[in-house]
Amino acid sequence: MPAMQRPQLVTILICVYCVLNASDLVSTWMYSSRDSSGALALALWASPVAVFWYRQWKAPGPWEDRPFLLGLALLCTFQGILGSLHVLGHIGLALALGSLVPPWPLHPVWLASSLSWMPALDWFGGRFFPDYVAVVRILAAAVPAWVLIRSMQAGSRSVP
Amino acid sequence: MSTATSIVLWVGLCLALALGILVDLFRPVEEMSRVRAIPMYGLGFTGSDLPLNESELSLYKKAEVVKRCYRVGRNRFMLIAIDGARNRHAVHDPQYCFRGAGWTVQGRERFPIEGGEAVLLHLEKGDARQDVAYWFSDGRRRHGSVVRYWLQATLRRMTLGRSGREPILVMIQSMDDEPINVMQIVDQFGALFEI
Repeated sequence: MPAMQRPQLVTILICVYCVLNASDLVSTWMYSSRDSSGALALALWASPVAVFWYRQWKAPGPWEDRPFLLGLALLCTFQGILGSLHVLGHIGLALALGSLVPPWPLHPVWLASSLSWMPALDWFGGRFFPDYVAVVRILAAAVPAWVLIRSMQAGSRSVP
Repeated sequence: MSTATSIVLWVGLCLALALGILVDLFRPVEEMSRVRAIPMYGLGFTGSDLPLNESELSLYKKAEVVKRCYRVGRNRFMLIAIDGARNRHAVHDPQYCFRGAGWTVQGRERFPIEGGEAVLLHLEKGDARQDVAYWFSDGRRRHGSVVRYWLQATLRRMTLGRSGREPILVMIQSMDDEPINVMQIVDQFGALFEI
């Protein structure tokens, strides 16, 4: 059985850098009653990453790091630190996690749906649909993630 | 990933870490905050400091905050001014905070003030109603846009303070749900624009 291809060390370190600099999410989820569904939304949204790497571990396939997304993630997170703006750190985290999945056709849609777990959705949605923010959050995280997982499965079935 | 791309990412990561530390170490010392520029007493008004509660203290941390009760004519109201120069995250969108505290925004309007405009919120929670007015001020220009505040504050940090002064959030709200006339306060209490 071929060995699993892992992300390069720099990829892992950039992801760790982005995760650490988005740690404000934890306190937001803990102390804001309106944002607590964000943790579940992040777990749902990030499930394609877990599914992909689980499948890689079970049946190793080709893997290419995604330097463009990693570079953007690094830039956003750094600007977020410099400008003291959490939302840039959250975008950086989404891009870093997004770089851990191969470029499937629905990848950009799934990446855009990362807004679902960000506190920014509560701020924005609270103005237009305040009573439905949690529902929108969960749906917007779950549906694109589910479609991406389905397309991964379909893609792997079509590969001989 | 090619070796060259990998090197670029390594350099980027090292630069981000190093610059992050350097900026943190050499961030320019903030000038004296303007939040205390509003006098406590004056012709036609009197005020007193109000203590910050525990949750406010943990929220504001290093930010300079003034929380006062003022009486201007027949209006008794609370003034909160927050300077986020030392803790940008202490300044939140007031509308978002009030919604989080269980208030429903029944109406929102903009009205002109010296140097720009402010936002007036009509809030309701059960039988309680209150009006809240707020604006962001850099000392000369005033506005009620949170997005503009974020842009100003972020740009200011990215340029190490060269893009202008830190906007301060100024908020006036009724106390104990007593009705207040915000327009009258803004007209009669010119000291508000010392910030």
